[in-house]
Order: sequence, then C-alpha cells, then structure tokens
Amino acid sequence: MSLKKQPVYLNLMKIRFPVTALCSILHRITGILIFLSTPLLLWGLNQSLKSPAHFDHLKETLHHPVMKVVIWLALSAFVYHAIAGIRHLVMDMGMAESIQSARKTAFATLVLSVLAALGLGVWLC
Amino acid sequence: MVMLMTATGLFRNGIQDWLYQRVSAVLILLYVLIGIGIAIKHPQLDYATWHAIFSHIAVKIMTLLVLLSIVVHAWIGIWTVTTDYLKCACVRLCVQVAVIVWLLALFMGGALIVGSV
Repeated sequence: MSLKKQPVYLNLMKIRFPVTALCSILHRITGILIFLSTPLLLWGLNQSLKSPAHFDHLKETLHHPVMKVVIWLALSAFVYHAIAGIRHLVMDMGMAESIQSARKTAFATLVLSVLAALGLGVWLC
Repeated sequence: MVMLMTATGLFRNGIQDWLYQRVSAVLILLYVLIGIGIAIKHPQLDYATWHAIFSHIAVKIMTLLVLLSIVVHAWIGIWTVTTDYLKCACVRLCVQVAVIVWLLALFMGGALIVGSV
C-alpha cells in the first residue's frame, strides 16, 4: 500500500475508529468521569455517616431525578471502566492478545456495558 | 522536557506505574464487590446498620486502603491522559498538580470522615 494515499492529517472527526480504539478512548473518558465524580462520593460518605437525620436527608436527595441521572452516569462509567480494566488484566496474563480476539473482547466490553447501563437505568428508575 | 514529564508522575518508571495501576484496580474492584454484597444483604439499609458497618476497624482499614488506591490509580491514569493530550507544558503541569492536590485532599477528607465514625 502506498503511503501517499493515506491522509497526512489527524482529524479526529474524520478518522474511522476501529472497535478497539473506541474501547480504549472510552476507557479514558470513563476514567476522567469517575475522577470527576469523586467529590460526590466523598460528600455522600460524609453525609451518610454524620447523623440519622443527615442519612435520611441524603436518601431523599439521591432520589431527586437530576441526582439519579448523575448517579446513573457515574455508575455506568464505573461499570464500563471496570469491564475494560478486566479486559486489560486478561491481556496482561497473556490471553486474547491477537488482533482478532482483541476486537472480539473490545466488542464484548461495549455490549456488556450497554446492557449493564440499561440494567442500572431500570434499577434506578 | 523529560525532567518535567516525570516530575508529576507517581513513580520514576513505567513498570512501577503499570504494577501499581493494576494492584490498585483490583483492590478498588474487590471493595466495590463487597459493597454490592452488603447492599444486596441489606435492601432497606438504615443509619444504624450503615454506621455499625463503618465502625468496624476492618472496614475502616479497607476504606482507607481503597482511598489510597484511588489516589494511586487516578494519579497514574490522569497523568497518562494529560501527558498525551495537553501539549502546552504550562497547562499540563497546572492540571496535573491540581489533580494531585485534589487526590491528596480526597484521601485526607476520607480519612477524617472514616476516623470520626
């Protein structure tokens, strides 16, 4: 294949993402999302342990629709990040390292995460 | 340039980063799985039960260990991502320092919360 025929720029909007690349970039995005949700986690831990009144108030707050969306996003991001992480651990152990199996496990990661996100959505509703 | 790249890294080489990234990941995942187990065991969790769980010294140690794992894991992860995408050294350094300060504050805050139970 001639190098001249390949595009010489890196326009993220025009690059077609293979499933493995999508899996990888989502791992990074979900990682950042989880990092951003740490203030909420710490605040929740503090509120839940302060007093029975704070505990009940937190329970009420968490039932607010906006909070439910935030929680759903954070939990879905965590589930994706965990599954993609387990995929990495499996590869670290020398399994499923070929490009064909990497595509399969990347696809499986995406499918499992979508199912988990749907499940979490139903559970939170 | 290399000096600046490693100044905000957690460890001095990639092998250490690689290992700690995975060890911390497994610790966090185990903690979350135990948490899910507790949630299933107590569907209608009340304050007394919740407080009793966090009064246990083993839970306090595990919680602090996992908070430390979050610091390590996020430090390595965010460092890697910012090193890839933030091309301006000044912006990158500021973001990385802010993230590190936040993570350490998270750990201190968590220690105070768990310690006060």
